[in-house]
Order: sequence, then C-alpha cells, then structure tokens
Amino acid sequence: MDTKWKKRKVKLSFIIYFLGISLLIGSVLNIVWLWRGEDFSWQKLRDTVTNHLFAAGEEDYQNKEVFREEISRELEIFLTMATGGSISGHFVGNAYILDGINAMVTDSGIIWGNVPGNDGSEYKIRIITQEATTSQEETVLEGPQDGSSDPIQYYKFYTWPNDDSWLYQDNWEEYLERGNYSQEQEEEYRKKRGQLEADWKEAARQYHESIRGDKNLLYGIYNDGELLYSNLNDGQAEELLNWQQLDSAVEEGRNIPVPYGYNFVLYFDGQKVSIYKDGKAVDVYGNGFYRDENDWYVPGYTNFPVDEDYRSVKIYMAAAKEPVQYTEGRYGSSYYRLSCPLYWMSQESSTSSMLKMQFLLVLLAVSLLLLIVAFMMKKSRKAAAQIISEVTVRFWIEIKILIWISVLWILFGCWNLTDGIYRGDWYGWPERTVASSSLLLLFWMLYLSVNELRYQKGEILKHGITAKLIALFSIRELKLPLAQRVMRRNFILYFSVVLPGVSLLALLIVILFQINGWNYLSYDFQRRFIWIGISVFLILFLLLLVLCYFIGKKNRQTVSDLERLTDRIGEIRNGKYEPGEGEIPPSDHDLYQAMADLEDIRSGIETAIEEQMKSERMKVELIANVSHDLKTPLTSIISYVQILKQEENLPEHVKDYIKILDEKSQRLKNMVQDVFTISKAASKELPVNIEVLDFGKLIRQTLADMDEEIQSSVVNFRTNLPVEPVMIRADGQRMYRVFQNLFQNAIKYSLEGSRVHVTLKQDGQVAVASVKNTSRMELLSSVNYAERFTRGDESRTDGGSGLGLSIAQSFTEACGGQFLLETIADLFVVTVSFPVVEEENPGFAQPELSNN
Amino acid sequence: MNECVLVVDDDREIVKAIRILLQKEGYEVLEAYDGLQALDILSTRRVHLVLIDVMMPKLDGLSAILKIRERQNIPIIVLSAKSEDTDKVIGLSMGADDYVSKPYNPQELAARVRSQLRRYTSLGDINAERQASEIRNGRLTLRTDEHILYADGEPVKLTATETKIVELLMRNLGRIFPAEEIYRRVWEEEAFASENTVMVHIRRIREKLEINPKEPEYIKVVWGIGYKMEKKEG
Repeated sequence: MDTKWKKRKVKLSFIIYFLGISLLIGSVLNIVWLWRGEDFSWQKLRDTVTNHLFAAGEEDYQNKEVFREEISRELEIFLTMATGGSISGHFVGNAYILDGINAMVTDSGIIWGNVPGNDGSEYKIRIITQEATTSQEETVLEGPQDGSSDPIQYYKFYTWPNDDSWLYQDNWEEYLERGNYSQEQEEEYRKKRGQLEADWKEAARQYHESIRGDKNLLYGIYNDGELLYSNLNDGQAEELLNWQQLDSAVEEGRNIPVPYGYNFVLYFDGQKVSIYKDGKAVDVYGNGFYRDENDWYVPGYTNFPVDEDYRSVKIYMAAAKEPVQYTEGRYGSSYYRLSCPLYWMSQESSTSSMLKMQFLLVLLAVSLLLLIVAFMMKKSRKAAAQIISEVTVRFWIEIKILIWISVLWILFGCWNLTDGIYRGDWYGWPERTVASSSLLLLFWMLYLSVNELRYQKGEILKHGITAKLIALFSIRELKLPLAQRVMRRNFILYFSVVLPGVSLLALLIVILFQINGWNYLSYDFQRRFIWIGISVFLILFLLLLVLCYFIGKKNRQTVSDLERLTDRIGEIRNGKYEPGEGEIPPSDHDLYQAMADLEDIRSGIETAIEEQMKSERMKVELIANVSHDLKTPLTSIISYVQILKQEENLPEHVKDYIKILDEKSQRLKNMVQDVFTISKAASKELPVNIEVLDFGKLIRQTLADMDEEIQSSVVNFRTNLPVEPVMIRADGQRMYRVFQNLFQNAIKYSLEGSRVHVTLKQDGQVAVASVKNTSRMELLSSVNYAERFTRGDESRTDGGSGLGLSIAQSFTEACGGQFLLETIADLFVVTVSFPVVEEENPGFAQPELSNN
Repeated sequence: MNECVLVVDDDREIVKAIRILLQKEGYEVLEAYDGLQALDILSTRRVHLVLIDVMMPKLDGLSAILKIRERQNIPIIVLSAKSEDTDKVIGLSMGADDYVSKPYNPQELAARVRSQLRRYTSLGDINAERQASEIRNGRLTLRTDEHILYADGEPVKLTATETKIVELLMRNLGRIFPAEEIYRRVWEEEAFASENTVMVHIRRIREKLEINPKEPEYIKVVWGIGYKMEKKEG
C-alpha cells in the first residue's frame, strides 16, 4: 500500500516536472518572441506588457515588421507602376494564402483579383503573378467562375512559347538584336512586346483601381513631374501633392505634411526615401548599408542603390493612424468590402497578440506552479531521475552519440531555414513551433544526458558496441601468454611510429614532385593524393595516438603491478607473511596470474608457519607438563634426602650414599629447569625485558659475581674490557646467564693452568665480546657444540646438563644479538655481538619493556 | 605455645616430608590433602601459617587462598611446581605472602616459614610501631640512629662498609647505583676497579640477609647497569 503510493508518487513527480519544464520553456520562448516581434527594447517591453494586459487595441500596428514589409512592397510596386514595368510576381499580404488560388495559377499568365483567404478570415488580397509554361494560345477568362459571393474581377491569361520568355526582360531589345531575326519576325516580337507593355500598364491600372478605395494607405505616384496614379481626393492632392514643395521640405529637413487622421508618411524623391511618423523623422538607412529584414527594404542604401529608371519618379505614401474597413460598389446592389491590409494588420496585432500574451502568461503561471510542486517532491523526483537513468543508460552509447549528432545537425539546418528565431508575429508560426519544439527536445536530451552522467557515471561507457568489442578483444588477449601480449602491444607501438612515418614520406615525395614540376603524375592525382594522404595520415595518427595512450596506460599499470609484486616477494622473503595491504588486481591486469600465484604461495607459507608455531607451542606445552610432572617426585626425593642428611647415627657408607643422592637430585633439578628453559627459548616464547645497558659492565659484573668460582678454578682469566661504556640493547638478566654459562663452560673444560681470554671491543657499529679458552680435550670439528645436550665429555659424568651453550645461544638470539661458536684446533672461541646504541644516555634512564 | 602450620598438598609424601622438617624446627603441623580439607581445618583450628600447593583436586590452591583471605590474614606461602614469573605474580596477587617453587630447598622453605611467622607473630601490628628513625622495606628494617639492620626483627651482623652500602641502597629504594657511585659514596675514594670490590660486598650482604642468596629478593644486580634494593610491600 505504502510502497504502491510511493511508486505512484515517483511517477507523478516526474510527470509534473516534465510538464512544468516544458511549459516553462515553451511559454518563455513564445513570450520572448512575441516581444521581439515588436523590435525589442526594455522600454517597449514594459509598454507591451501594459498594452497587452490592460489596454487591448492601443498598440501601434505601424511598429510591426509586417507593416514595414507591406509599405516597402507597395513602394516597390508603385515604382514599377510608375516606370511601366510588370508588377506581376509580387505577393502582397500573406504568402500563406497562396493555397487558395492554386487552381488559378497553375495555368499561368497574369492573374490578379480579389481571392478569398482560406484561413477562415475575411482577409482578401490581390495577387498578380505570372508563369509561362504551357504552349496554349491566348486564353481569356472573364468574370467569376465558381459562383462564389466574392467576385473575381478580371483574369487574363497569356501563354507564350517557352523560348520567348526573354520578351519579359528589361533588356529584351538586346535579345532581339542578337537573335538575328528577320524583319517580319522582329516586327512580330516588337508587336508582342508592345502588347505586353500595354497589358502591364493595364494591370497597373487595374491594380490601382483595386486599391484606390482603401484610403488607409494614400498614395501619389509621379514620373517626370506627371501625376500618374493617386487615390487622394482632389482637395488633398492639390494641398499635398506638390513635388517641388515636398522636395524642398526634404532638403530642408522640414516635416512632410499629412492629411488629418494620418500619422505616417513616406516620400521617395528619386534619390532616397524619407519617412516621418507622428511628425518625427524615422532613421531609414541607419549606417547606410542594408543588412537584413530588420531594416527598411527600400532603395537608397549604399549597397542597394536606386535604379536609373527610378530617378525621375516621386512617390508619396501616407498611412492612417487607425485604419478602417472600406467598402466599394453601390449600396444596395453590388457591394463588397475592400481588402484593407493595414486594417487587418492593426486588428490582428491588437487582438490576437493580446490573447496570445494572456494565454502564454497563464501557461507560464501554470508551469511555475507545477515546478514548485515538482521541487517540493524532490525525493520522488530524484528517485524518478534515477530510474530513468537506469533505463537510458542501457542504450548503446554510439546510438546516443548518433542521435545527438543528427539532432544537432537537423537543428542547425532548421536554424538556417528559419533564419534564427523568426521575428514575425502571425507570420511563420510553424517555424516557431519547430524552433520551440526543437529547443524543448534539446533541453530534454540534455536533461537525459546530464541525468545519466549524474547517476550512472561509471556505467555509460560500458554499454555500447565499442565496449563490447574491447571486452571481447581483452578476453582473447588475456588467454595469450604474457610475452605474446606484450609483443603484440609492441607491434602496435612500432606501427604507430612506422605508419604515420611512411605516409608522411609518401606525402613529402608527392609534394616534391609538385614543387619540381615533375609531371609523371597528373596534377589532379597529386592534389587528391595529398588531400587523401593528409587525411589518412591524420586519422592514422589520431588512432595510433589513442592506441598508444591505452598501451601506455596498460604498461604503466603493469609496471606498477610489477613493483607491487617485487615488493611483495621482498616482504615474503623478509618473513612478512600477513596478507598484503593491496588487494590482488582485477583479472584483466597482465600480472594478475603471477600475483595470484604469489598470494597462494604466501598463504601456503603462512599456514605452514602457523602450523609449525602450533606444533612448537604444543611441544613447549608438552615439555612444560613433563617437567612439572618430573618436579613433583623430585621434590619428594630432595625433601627426604634432606631429612636423611639430618639423621644422626648413620653408618659412614650410608652417609656417602646420601651424599650421592643429594648431588644427583640437585643435578636432576637443574636439568629439568634447563630443559624447560631451552624449550621455551627454542619456540621463541621466552619473555625478554630489553633495555639499554653497558655491555662491558655486564661482563665485569658477571666476572665479579663468579669471582669465587674463578679463583678456585684451575684456569686464569685474562680480561680486556674497555673502560668507556659500550651501550647495547639487551635483557641484562638473560645476558648474565649467557656469560655465566660461557664462563662456567670455560672453567669446566679448559686445560689446567691455561688462560681464558675475555675481551670486548667495539667494531664500528657492533660490540663484539669474545670468550676464548683452550680445551682440555680434543675438539672435534664434526661436533656442533652449541647443539643441545652436546658436551665435550661424551661420558656425561660432569655436572652439566649439556644445555649451557645452547641456552647461551638461545638467550643471545632472543635479545637480538649474534652468537658465534668457533673451534680452531684446541681453541674454543665464542663471540657474542650486539649492535651499538648510538645515543649516549645514562643507560638505565629509560628502560624499555618488550616481549620477544 | 608452638606456632601451628597447616600444610596442604595432594602429595602425601611431600606433606609428610614438610611435617618432619617443620616439626624439627619446633612447629605444630596440621595436614590437609585438598583445598576443602584445608578450609575445614582452618574453620576449626587456630592456624598461624598455611603452606599450600596450587594444583590440587576438589579445590585448587589459588581458590582456597581467596577463600582463606575472606576471613583470615595469616601468612600464606604458595608451593608450586610452576616456576614461571607469571605464575608467581598470579599467586602473590591472589593474596599469598610468599612463593616457593618446587623442587624447593628444604632449608630455604624452613627459613621462609620462620621469616613469615616472625613477622606475623612477634612484630604484630607493624605500622603502629613505626618509628621516625626507621626505614622499613619488607622484612628488613634499618634503624638509622643505631646503624643496625633488622631482618624479620632480628639484627643482621654487618660490617661497617656493608652497613653503609645497605643504608645507601635502602635510603634510595629502587634506584640503580653504578658500582663507581657506590664506591665513591661508601669508600669516599675515587673509583678504581670498583666492580669487583662492590660485587664482593654485595654478595656478602646478600648471604647475610637474603633467605636464598642465589635468588635474592632484596639486593639485586641490574646487569650491565648497577645495583639496587627492590622495594617490597609491607
């Protein structure tokens, strides 16, 4: 129940987010376009908003681009009319309406008249067009053909043979001369041209007739000082249409007069166009260069000069401040409304853009509301984004890149097609739809990509043909032995040097050919070769560069693995058997197998050592138990021997027996103790208390401690010990035992009357103590005297346990020293060495505690 | 009245040997063969000292010591075949007063029993009798005004030099003195070949005041550094 709601919430949150963002982008874009349609400026923006929202219909249609287009088109037509040219081919009004007269233009000729618009509005327009495609002879159609309520005034079709189309052109006489026609033919053509010009004139007249009723646009057209066409009434004409006055007004920068109710005036004086709006001059030419449709499309720019023919023409045009609908005909009988483009323009701009703006603002508000809701559902939205990323990441990356490229390409095309974001108002809404939907598409594609990057960063590259190929390749590669793998990579490296080199060489040769003008190869071939060569070279170079990069990466990886491997080997060699810090690398590494094998070896050794330690411990335990078990009866023996010893009145020989019992039991006791100690030392479980001490003093103390024993022995001790301290790190108690054992050993086994030499010297960083004595018995080189239970006396009748030297050795090693035993002939030499401690401290100031 | 010693060990022969040993010394000896028996006897008889083995059936020695210590503070000497330092530490921290490892030296055992009993019975409440001119360390007491050292309340016969050394060490319990320093401060001469001289004296002092001179408890050699007197509780 709860989870179900959660799932729904996730879906809902994304839908809300999606709608919110889409509406936001759509509405904001459209609002911007709507504003921009009226020459964007912040001042106007404010005005527009107030106008659109609060004062419908107050807006000035004359600021719109459509108005500018209409005016400039009319000026163009008027100029043509004034010079007697063909006005066909001009579209006045909205090109969209062309569909409605499709049937009438297909057969070509000059068509003009009022045509119903097919956009459902009352919008009517005059169309004059021409096309010469059929070979039909002259056809004349008159009157309305379809019986519609809107009368079509006049149709006239001319059809010309295709090759006669030059007659339409301005330089027709040149064609005539060049054509080498016969006198008769020439006459015929001249007649045809005359007919054409008469028709054009008639068309101009008809056009004038059709528009003169629309008093929203007043005009007067002069040529050579003669008023040709005008729709001003006589009084107005007399007052306003005086071209001498107008010219002087322009020259002096005075205002050009307009009739009452008109606020826009354009005057063409044969050189340039002057425009006044609301009594103020309008900057028509800007910096003097025509750039785009933002400017007035009128002649007179530096890069758009006035035709020679038009120099004698003067045109006066005035537009109404508030256009109205004019009608024509007789009230009561044939009565129809004239097409009044300016009227519709003003109507359209004020109502529809207001409605549009309101609608867009509502959309904007809705989108903002949706977005607020979406942001409140942040958690669910994130979950949704994650789910989406999980879905989208599965698509192949190559497909995604292709989609991106094609969308961008198409968008780029669209952009050029619509020439940026179209500025028209009613015009070009399909383009605008395309633009806004493509921007939306772009946004959502961006969203998906960013989303993927955010949640599936590591995954993106894993889905795709390339990744699959690489995986396939590397799996195959891994099956090869290491040497072959490296070899293959080296090949690629060689190629990366050789291939671009070879292609470069070839290029150089061809370029040389070209420079020297050796024409063994055609120029075309050379050129093509160079271009192909350069591209191949570059592609190869890039490809190999990428390959080199990856190989380098791999090599670096291998080398670092190798370093780890050797480090690991070193560690294991040094007795560090714990698992290493670094994990074994992934199986696609070159040295994976080696490292894994080493790891196996390591863990093998580790287990072996553990087991050895375990058995060693068990041995110690066993010995400890045995010695304990031995000690209990030994205690009784010693106790009763003691009691016996105190017994009086015993025969002398019994006392002797008791004495032997006493001695042997004491020896047994020592042996049990030694065996226990040695087994502990051998298993490295001997606790040691390491501190800094004076080696020389330790030896002196030991000697002093054993003074009595030494004095009563058959040997003499010669010592050579430095006075200054020789500081070492060791356990004093254990080392005392070491030297005690060594001295006892020397006393016990030395030749009678011989000397025992005890020396200590510092040899660099090592303090070496040695005990040398001459053996009473022959020393056998085959015997290791430090071995447990080995004694100089094989009969084992002396008091020792045979463990003295062994214990000495174990203790020295437990303290971190070196114990060396040498026999040279009868000379028995033991050296005990320790590293010297550098710092000259009092020694006992900082005793250091440590175990093992 | 003779002091009464309770000997506890599961090995009857050892108990018997100890009994013979201690009876010769003039003590009354009670015997027990496990911890529970020992506790029984302790609850019915007045006992001055307990000698107890660690490893015993029914109730082991260490547990028995804990039980005894709940009610009595008589001296307890542990007898054990375990001779490791750690075993000694455990035994002493459980409340034992002394530790003798098997196989023991009978004379040493007798001496330890004597020492513990003397301190328990004749010295009684030690702290109350403390005097200003006394330095006390374990079973040793040095009367600084008389320059006489007492071990278990009995004067130890020391020569003048030996007394000086003991005084130096006792006044600085735990401090390690190199042989040179001891020589300088006791003989008041510049040290020369001092190690042997000092060591000989140290050994003699040990023989006089340690129960087992081979395993000294008070005067210790810190090998390679010097000599010191170990600080003891009580």
